[in-house]
Amino acid sequence: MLDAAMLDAAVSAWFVVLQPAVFGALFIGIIIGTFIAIAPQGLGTPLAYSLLIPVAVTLPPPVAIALLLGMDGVTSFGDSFLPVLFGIPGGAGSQAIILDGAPMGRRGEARRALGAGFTASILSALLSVFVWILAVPLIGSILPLIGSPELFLLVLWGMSMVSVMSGSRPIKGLIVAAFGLLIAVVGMEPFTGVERFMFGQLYLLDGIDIPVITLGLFGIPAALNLVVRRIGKEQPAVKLVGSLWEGIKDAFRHLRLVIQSSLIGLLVGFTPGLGAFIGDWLAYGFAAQTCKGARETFGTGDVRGVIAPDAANSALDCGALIPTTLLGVPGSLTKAFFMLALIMMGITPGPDLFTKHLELLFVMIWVMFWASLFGGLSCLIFIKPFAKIAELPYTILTPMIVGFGFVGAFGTNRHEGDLFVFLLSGLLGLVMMRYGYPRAPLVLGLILATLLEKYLYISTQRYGFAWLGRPQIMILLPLVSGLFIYTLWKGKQSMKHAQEMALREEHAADPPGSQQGSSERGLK
Amino acid sequence: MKNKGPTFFALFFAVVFLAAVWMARNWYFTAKLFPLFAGIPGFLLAGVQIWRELTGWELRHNVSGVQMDEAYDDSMDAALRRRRTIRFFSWLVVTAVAIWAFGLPLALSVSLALWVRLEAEQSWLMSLCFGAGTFLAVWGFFTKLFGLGWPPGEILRLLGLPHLLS
Amino acid sequence: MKMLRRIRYIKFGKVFTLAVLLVGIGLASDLCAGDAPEVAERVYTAADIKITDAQRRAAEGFYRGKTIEWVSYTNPGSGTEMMLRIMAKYLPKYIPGNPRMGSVQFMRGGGGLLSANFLYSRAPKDGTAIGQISAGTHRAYIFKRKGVEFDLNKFTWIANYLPQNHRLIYTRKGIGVDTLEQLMKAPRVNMGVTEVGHNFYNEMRLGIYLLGFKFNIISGYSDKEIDLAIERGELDGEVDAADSFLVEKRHWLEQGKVVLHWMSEPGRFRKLPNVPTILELAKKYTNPPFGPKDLALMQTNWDLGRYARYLAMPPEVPVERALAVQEAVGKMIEDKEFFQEFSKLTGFDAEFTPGHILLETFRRLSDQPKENLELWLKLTGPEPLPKR
Repeated sequence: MLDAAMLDAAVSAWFVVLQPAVFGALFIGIIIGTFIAIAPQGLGTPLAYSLLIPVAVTLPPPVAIALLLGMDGVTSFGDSFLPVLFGIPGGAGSQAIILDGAPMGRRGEARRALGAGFTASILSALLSVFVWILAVPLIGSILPLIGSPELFLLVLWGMSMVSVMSGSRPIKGLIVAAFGLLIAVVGMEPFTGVERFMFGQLYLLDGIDIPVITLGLFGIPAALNLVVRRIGKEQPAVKLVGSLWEGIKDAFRHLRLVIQSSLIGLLVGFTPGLGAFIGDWLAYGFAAQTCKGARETFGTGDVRGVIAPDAANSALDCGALIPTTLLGVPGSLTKAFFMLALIMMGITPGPDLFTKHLELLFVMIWVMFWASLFGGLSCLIFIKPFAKIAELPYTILTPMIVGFGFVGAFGTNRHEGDLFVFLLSGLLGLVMMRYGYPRAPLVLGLILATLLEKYLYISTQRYGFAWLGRPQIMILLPLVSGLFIYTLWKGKQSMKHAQEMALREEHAADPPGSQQGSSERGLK
Repeated sequence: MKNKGPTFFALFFAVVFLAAVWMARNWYFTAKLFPLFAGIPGFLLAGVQIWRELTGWELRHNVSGVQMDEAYDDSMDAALRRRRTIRFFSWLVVTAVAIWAFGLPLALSVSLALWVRLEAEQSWLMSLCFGAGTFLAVWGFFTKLFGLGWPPGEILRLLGLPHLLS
Repeated sequence: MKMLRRIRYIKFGKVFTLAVLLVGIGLASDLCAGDAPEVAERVYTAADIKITDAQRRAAEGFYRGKTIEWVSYTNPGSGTEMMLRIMAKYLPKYIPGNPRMGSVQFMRGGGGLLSANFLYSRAPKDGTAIGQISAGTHRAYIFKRKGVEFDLNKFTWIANYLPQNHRLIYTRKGIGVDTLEQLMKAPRVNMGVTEVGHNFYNEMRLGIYLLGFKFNIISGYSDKEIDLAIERGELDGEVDAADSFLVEKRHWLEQGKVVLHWMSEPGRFRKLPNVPTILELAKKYTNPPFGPKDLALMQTNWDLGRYARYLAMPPEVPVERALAVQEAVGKMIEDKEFFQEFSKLTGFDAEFTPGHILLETFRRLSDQPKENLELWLKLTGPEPLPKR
């Protein structure tokens, strides 16, 4: 239960969030997050973080947190726009939405699909915030048991995310994760002062900044995609018809499904590494197994097929914040960015946040609460005008992305070396996409490498190899290994199931007599 | 050779990992631990991938399903895609050089304005508005509002105008 | 009459003898305790800047209507940026002509060398650019690190505004090292630090070298992590800046949770007068006995670790402008309002050390014998220490 200090912190944080500067930053974040979510494919939350972090870290921490989490908390809501309106994936958690959202959109029931999805997202996000609050006092009692060896194990668990993020390409995923580990060690090693992979370049002494790499890796291919495909000029948007109110009622009608999917999302979010990519598929698959008549209707435009992944996606977002803030282990890729922002503000997530910045922790919780509420409500209210942003032509969007990219890349260190890294990362991202190498494991390797190295070094320096015999390790190690294996197995199961569903949809869409398989349709 | 591009890309990774392991060999144990931890398995995995590319393993095993990243759009004409890609990247490189030479606010504004006019084929008015808006946002927001100045461009510095528009 | 004179001579003789004895005892105790048992801290003020009225008027004529740009080796959003912003608020009113404070150019990277190189060769030399130089920059210069493109002695040094002296070494109580003798006998004491080569790291290494402590120095922690690690028993102690220790961990002291072992500077710290200095301990306990080489090593360590934040201008800035800005920095730090705001927002007390004192320090360092510098380099590195 919450003790007096926590209640105190929770109450004072509530009023901190209501301050004009903080609330204003929250709204700005919501606006940016909504824009990011509904803009065409490629403008994801990682890009938004990369652009906002250099600015956010110059602001007071509560304002910065409101800006970043306001943005992050809303992107999962707007993920539904593109799958429903364009039939293409928007954000990371919106792939499964396509299966039922796109058919609904094609039928003209886009408003119903969007209404159901947004309402489910609001409900699940609010439930997740409540769970987060409950997790705070429980985490406090186990903190003294968490030393460097335990943190190493937890981060290692996070690295198991690589296998999930590799999807159907584990080898390629591991290669790029290893590459990310190598990039992360460039610079002076803090334990011995050895200069690693600097090639005589002073610029590399402090290492390569992760935001510069991720800006290039995601931003340049995103902009290029718009330019090459002439988005907005060659793909017209779906005309919005149907009843928004019917969609809202659908979400309340299937409340059990919302709660069920939220719990799946929370669990996935809390497990470092599973992330948004797998959450919506698991929820979708589980819904297909448990909902009445779902096996016949899922994939053809069943609103439950939109509610399940949307609810999971939202809950996952908040669930990922729990290990990020309370244990210092990022629950997903985007939360790794948030963690990076906190570290740049001088706040170490994990035990440090809990003991020394408790009020700030509750600021994050309340910010998520308001972001979920206002983000979801604004999505509902502004479906029509928001949809229009998604229709912006590439002629407007491309220079905006490029402008933000250069400002973000150059703004970190104001050194031309960063421009070079930015361009090189963009080229790398493009080639990786071209040859089917997932980019997410590279970023994960980049972000977690320094933590892994640090905790491994500290553990062995302090305890030798005796740290493996610590009681906490003896409990955690089998648990982590077991979860890792379970993750792999579950991932494989869900991929198998999703492939089956995709094949079903393919056969439903193909004209009679057509024998096209998924490989021939260009899926790599 | 089948799959030339993917093969060379896998080879690139193999070379990088091998070079990393080689460079790290004489460092202190703690300094070389991670490069070896990443480099040795990375090299072996890259080797496996090279073999897969050379033998067409992935095509034979029809690897599809959950992608975990954006799927590359193969439906466009390859030559047109290549042409647009090269033009776009060239523009990015020119913009980067211009930033080094003239400072970010000026270079970025002019570059974006020219792109909107020449590549996106919008009107002069639109492109000038875009350029002015960019300058206002970058210089006004960062330099004026937050006092976060930009380094002067090398050309401007050599001309004795280091504070101009930075 | 003769009797009276005799009595006076005897009295004078006794007094004189007593005086000689007292002086002798004082000298003897000085020799036993160290060369400088209590060195009064020299506090510099703006009055230490020798600027004439004519020079002030000349500077005023130049700075009126001008904008001063800052160059910093850190990121926006860092603690150092906060310090710069506070200085930018107060400094203009003390510079003759009241110039405007312009934007800050952040040039992080290269361990501070990138911004130092820029300030040295590419920033305007007319007095309109002030740079913040990192403390590691002079180390890089003295040890001729690759990438240094400046001559440290040719910068126009303005001041140091943040001292980094008075390092305190302490351990937590109850682990069997509550006295110095126990600390010297302990087989292993786990000490935390952020990185190899840090001033705090160097302090511990000095203790190992001179006094044979068996410190297991574990680097890689962040500042806050060290505190947490000490609380949960993963670490036994650390080196910390005495001022910030007394602010942030005073409760540990009051609750008797820690033992303070020594301080870094040659003279005792006025806020902790009962804590001996490393110089005192070295003279008392080292075997072989403390000698000139050891003192030279200590002096190098003091000089290289004394200052935390330098302000400098490019070379060849006209003298009157440099002096005017130096004086302005001194006056700014004496400004009570500035001092309080700086202290409140940063947690540190600003302290003025004029540029010519910095230059003296750097020249003294540059003139060190090569073997002393090499020994100091080994002290601050990761390899095992040589035997004394």
